[in-house]
Amino acid sequence: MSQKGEKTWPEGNSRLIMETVRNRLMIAVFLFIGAFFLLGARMVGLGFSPSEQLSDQWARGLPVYVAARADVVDRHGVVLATNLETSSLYADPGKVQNPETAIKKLATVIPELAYAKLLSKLKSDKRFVWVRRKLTPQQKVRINALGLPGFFFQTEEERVYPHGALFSHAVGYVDVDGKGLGGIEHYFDIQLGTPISAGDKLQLTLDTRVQHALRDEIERALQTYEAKAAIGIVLNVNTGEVLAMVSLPDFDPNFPAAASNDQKFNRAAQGVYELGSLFKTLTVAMGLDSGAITLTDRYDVTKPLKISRFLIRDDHPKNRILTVPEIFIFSSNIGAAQMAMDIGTDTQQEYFGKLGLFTAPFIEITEVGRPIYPSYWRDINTMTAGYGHGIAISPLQMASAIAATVNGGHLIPATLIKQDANLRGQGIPVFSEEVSAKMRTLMRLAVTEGTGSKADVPGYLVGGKTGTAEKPGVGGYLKNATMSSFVGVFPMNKPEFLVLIVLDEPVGQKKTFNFSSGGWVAAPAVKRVITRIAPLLGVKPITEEVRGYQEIAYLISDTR
Amino acid sequence: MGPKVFIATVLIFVAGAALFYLKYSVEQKEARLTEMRAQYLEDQKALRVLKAEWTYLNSPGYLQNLARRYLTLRPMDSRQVIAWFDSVPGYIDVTPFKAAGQGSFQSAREVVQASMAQPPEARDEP
Repeated sequence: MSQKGEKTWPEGNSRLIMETVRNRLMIAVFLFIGAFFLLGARMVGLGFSPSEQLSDQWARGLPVYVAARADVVDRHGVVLATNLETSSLYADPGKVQNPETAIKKLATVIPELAYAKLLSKLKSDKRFVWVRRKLTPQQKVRINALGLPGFFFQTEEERVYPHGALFSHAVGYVDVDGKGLGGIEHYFDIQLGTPISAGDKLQLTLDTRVQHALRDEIERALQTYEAKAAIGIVLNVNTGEVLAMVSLPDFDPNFPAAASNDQKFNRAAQGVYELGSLFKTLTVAMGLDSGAITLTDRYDVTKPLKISRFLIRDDHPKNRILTVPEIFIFSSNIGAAQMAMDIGTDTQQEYFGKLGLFTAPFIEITEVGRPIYPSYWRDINTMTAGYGHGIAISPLQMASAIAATVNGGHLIPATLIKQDANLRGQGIPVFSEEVSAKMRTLMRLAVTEGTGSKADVPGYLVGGKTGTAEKPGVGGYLKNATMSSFVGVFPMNKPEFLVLIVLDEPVGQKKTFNFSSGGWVAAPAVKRVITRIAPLLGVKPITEEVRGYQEIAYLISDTR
Repeated sequence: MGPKVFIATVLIFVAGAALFYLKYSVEQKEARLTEMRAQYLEDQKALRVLKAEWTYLNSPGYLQNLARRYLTLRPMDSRQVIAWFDSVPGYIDVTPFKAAGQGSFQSAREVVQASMAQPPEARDEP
């Protein structure tokens, strides 16, 4: 048909057709030229555009690795908990050829494998069974080398605590699926588990160096005095920041399954104890603040107090009439009990309430102990509470309450989270500044003249109070089982830091003449801690002695 | 075939070859980019591992054990800490050195002699 059509077209039309074709071709040509010009213009444009703009566009698209759980860091940014990639071994039982030999081969790499349990898993109908979670890189290489069919690796993230047991109670730990089970990890589980950017991290008030110094020293005390347990707290008395919190025995949070409940128990915040004579600090402070007693008041401590069936005695009776400062620095129970009666039950309860000793304290961990005290408060309870018996509170509460007596009288809740100091506020006023100044002097005197002499560190003006509480047992208090403690604050002219150490059932040693009281076992530990941490915390030593002492002391290298 | 057609044909081939070359090098660059992005991600993970290892190796407990084993250093005593530099015997204040110019021997000697001649002023502060 087309052949026929071509022939039938008139001769004159062929020029017209050629013209049409050429015109159409020109359109195509111009389109192409236009397109090439556009490309050229774009290339020239790209060539001239500033390079930062381009690299910025690339950078925005760069892959960022965000771990499944945010890091926890200390006050100086030292990593306390981080997530690292690791491999886990799983098996597809349908593809495993010879389970028995496979397990035997695997056992050469992972000796802890439970043979019977794994064999039944591998013979099941499932398509996916875990063999071993979180292998070391070395184990992974060796398992790969075995070349077992049916076994595969899955990349997972593992929570790693580089400091081992150092922060076990404060930072806490997670389970195998990365769910927070203790401490900060549990309290901030949701926030830590949903990081938005790679740099997301939770900064704590803890200081790795201080925490280590404290743990090192209380571990030493625990071993020296064969104590059952030991507790240590370092607190900034002006901000409430917890710089260190240790509870021994502790555990390695990298292997929480291996830890016993006793190890996991946070004695510093969850344990509540009758802390004994440390309470005399509060008794004297509330007595002075309420006006019930003055520093020049005297009390007869020659005879034990007999109240109904109770007998209040002093361990080392002074057999004379003592002034209030003497009662404090020699730690007389009889004197403190009489002071408490002069203060009165209502006033004492009011101050205990203000100091938060009737409620569980607020701090950013879940393991917080509720105080134990008698539901019906009689005179005898007022008297015993005056020297720290009959009311059990956590060491953390004690540290906050003592801080309130020396920092100008403000109760500042303890915190583990680093935040703007201005947001924290001044705390609740409990004692007047004047009373606080007197308490600072009394606590300094308890170290220079009284029971706390073994806590003195030259230059740092340590003040403090000893505590030796008999532990409650079946049918009364146990004579030979004590909670021995010491709370030290330094420097006493302008208090900055508080160190509280409690030893559970220390045993007197030859070098302490078989004494196991707070002044003998806990005070030296506080001294050692202060010696180590004061330079780290930037506290300048103060020369109490005449000028020139240090020049000469500097030339003697063996000071102990 | 006229010269115009010949030039046009050559130009078409050159343009085609150039286009293919461009496409090929862009592909290469893109492959390299993908590789680098993957490497960047791996490096971030490696950095986390190194950071954790660095923290472990700097853990005070670990360092203390090493120090105990290999060094003769002992914990500091508070009397070895000084609040003021001039408590150190033989201490010479270096500020005048800096003031006197580029620490020439001449000025250094003058400063030392001056400090030997007169004892340092006693401070009121503790």
